[in-house]
Amino acid sequence: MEAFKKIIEMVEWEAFHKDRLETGIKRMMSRVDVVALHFLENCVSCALCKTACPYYYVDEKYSPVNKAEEARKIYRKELTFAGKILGPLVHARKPGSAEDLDRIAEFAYACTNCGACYTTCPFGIDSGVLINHVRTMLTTTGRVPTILQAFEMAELTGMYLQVPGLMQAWEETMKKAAEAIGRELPFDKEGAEIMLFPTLIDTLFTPGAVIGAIKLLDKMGADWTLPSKPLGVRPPIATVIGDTEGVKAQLGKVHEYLEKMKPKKVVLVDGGFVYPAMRWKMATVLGKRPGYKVLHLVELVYGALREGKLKLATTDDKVTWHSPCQLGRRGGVILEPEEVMRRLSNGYRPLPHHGLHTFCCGGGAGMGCMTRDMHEMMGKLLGASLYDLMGDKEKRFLDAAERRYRLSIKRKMEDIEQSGAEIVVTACPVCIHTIELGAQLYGPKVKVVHLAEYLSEHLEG
Amino acid sequence: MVGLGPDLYVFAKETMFQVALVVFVFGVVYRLFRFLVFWRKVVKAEARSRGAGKRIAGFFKTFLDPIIEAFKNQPLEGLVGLLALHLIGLIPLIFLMDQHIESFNEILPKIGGLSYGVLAPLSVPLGLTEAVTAVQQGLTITSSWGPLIIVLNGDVLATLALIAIGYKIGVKLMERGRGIQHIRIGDFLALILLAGIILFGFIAAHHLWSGSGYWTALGIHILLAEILLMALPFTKFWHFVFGYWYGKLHEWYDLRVTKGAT
Ligand code: SF4
Ligand code: SF4
Repeated sequence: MEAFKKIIEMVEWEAFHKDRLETGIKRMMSRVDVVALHFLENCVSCALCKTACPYYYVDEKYSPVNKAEEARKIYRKELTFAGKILGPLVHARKPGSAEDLDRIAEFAYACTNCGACYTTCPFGIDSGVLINHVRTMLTTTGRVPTILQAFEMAELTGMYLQVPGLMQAWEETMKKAAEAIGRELPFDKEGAEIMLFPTLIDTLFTPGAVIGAIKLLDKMGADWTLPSKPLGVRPPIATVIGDTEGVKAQLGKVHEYLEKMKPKKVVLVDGGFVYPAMRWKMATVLGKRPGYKVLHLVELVYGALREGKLKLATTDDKVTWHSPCQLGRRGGVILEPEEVMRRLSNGYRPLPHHGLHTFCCGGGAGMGCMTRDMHEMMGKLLGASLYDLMGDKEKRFLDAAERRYRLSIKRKMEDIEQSGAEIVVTACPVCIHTIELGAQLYGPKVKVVHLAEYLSEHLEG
Repeated sequence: MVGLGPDLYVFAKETMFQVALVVFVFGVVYRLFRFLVFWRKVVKAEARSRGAGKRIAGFFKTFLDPIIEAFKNQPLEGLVGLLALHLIGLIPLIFLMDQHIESFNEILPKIGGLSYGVLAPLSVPLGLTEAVTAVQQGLTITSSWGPLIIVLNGDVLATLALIAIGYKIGVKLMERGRGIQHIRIGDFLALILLAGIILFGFIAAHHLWSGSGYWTALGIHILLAEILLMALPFTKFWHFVFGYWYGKLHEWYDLRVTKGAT
């Protein structure tokens, strides 16, 4: 309960605290490096990025450039001469009221950080990154969704390990996995070739994927291990609310454990933001390249299939691959899953928008958590009602965010419908949750399954 | 005191040109210096190599994909914003028109023995009438564009660019009216400046103002172009000099070279 009290102290949806705002702006500006400077300064306002964004279809005001303008307004005021001298004339302005912060929060939480705007912009401007910078400022002021702040606190303090509702999911999944391979799981083994890296969220939302991954490793005859306890809720969850210090702290903890275990490869089940954080950000955050390679399970499977270490029984399933934006567009793993799916099913068909230009489902960067259902479910698991922690304004924010989230899924569902697929395979728990919701709301009535689970169902022999 | 007519022309061509050049150079140095100030040395993860072939293909895709996406998703924007305003509008109008090649050849220093005049074979003529006459009468067309000069001539290019500018202003006004916050006063000023340069260039080129009026129009044309030159490093026009190239090269390096996205 102590940790919950702390969350209440950090979350602030009613008041406007100038000192917290100034600290937030400082933290936001400290993230401006040469690349961010390009993102901030070189936009020509052509709005060619707008059609890439799942939230543009909810309302045109949620186009990437329009949302990123919130970052630019603050940046101009803080770091440009013209902005300091001419202020509003050149659209340079810091938030000045609670209403300003509310508007900014509305924009900042209409983004999945999918990066589709990045590859669509003729200037390579990544509005998602700027919107994450805005979240840094918002989180410091307290305009942060309670559910996300709660997850972050739970992860950073290690509190999640003491929550029976959460740990039960982990333990049950491990028990079932051991049954599936008919032996004890090799927990915390030093010097193994492969360290499987399931997160707590993997076991909560996609236990079948964790069990599937374990079956695949077993089938490959790999020398592998896995942590006896989850190394985070979904590390580093701080990234979702733009808490860069939190990201550093959590990745540091994860690295400490991995360094002790000395695996050669760390294999992730989650194809959401955990992948780019571990694969690409870890070295920068640590200031050194780690001694292990980070891979997603699909990369390992791809290699094993090519080397003949793994055999899959071919199917005729009408199946497609939804590339999670963090694994594909942001992570670079595009070729492997497409190739694995092609080998597996004669009925595989790519989505009309696939690869680098895949449509985002609408659920990333915490957007998929903005539902009443998710709050109720998490409240039950945490043993405390998240609603009781929230004020009226945050509840209204949450309801509006949920409406936007539900609408944002529609475009993805149309793409899936066009493909004629009956099964959607993907690799991110949030994508699975979101596409399942989309199937209920708009159809088509597809089955959505994690790649690890799907592959494990088609193991040969 | 600078009067209109030839006085204005000389002032624009000489005094003001020097000033504009100094401001431009200062601006470029300032912008590049600013970039360096924000540069931080960081440790990067080991890149995923997919081979040189994929990297080269990725290079072209990085530049082409947004254009293809624009034509697919926003065809009118693609036609007007990319085609009429850039590819067959301002770019050939500014850099390839006969008179401009001549002027730039005079002004710009030779680099490695090469003068701006090397572009002469790619020059486009000024007027539509002369282009049509040349094509109709089967005259020898000196431009390597051949019969394409029916489109690639100053009149048509200027008209296309003006239509595009008008369209852009209209769309932006409507968006602003709907409360879209990223539309700024600077967007309109930039477009109005471009339109002004083209209009006065057109007036001068066709001697629409007679006598000393010709020199006035030409003087204003050059002055406005110099304002553009001075504004280049400090406004959205910077995209042409730096922003576009840096942005695409960074994206290519990040996504295709480092992350191996295919
Ligand atoms: S496409 Fe790029 S330059 Fe154009 S508005 Fe979007 S971010 Fe700005
Ligand atoms: S990152 Fe994705 S959701 Fe965010 S603004 Fe860009 S396209 Fe939209």
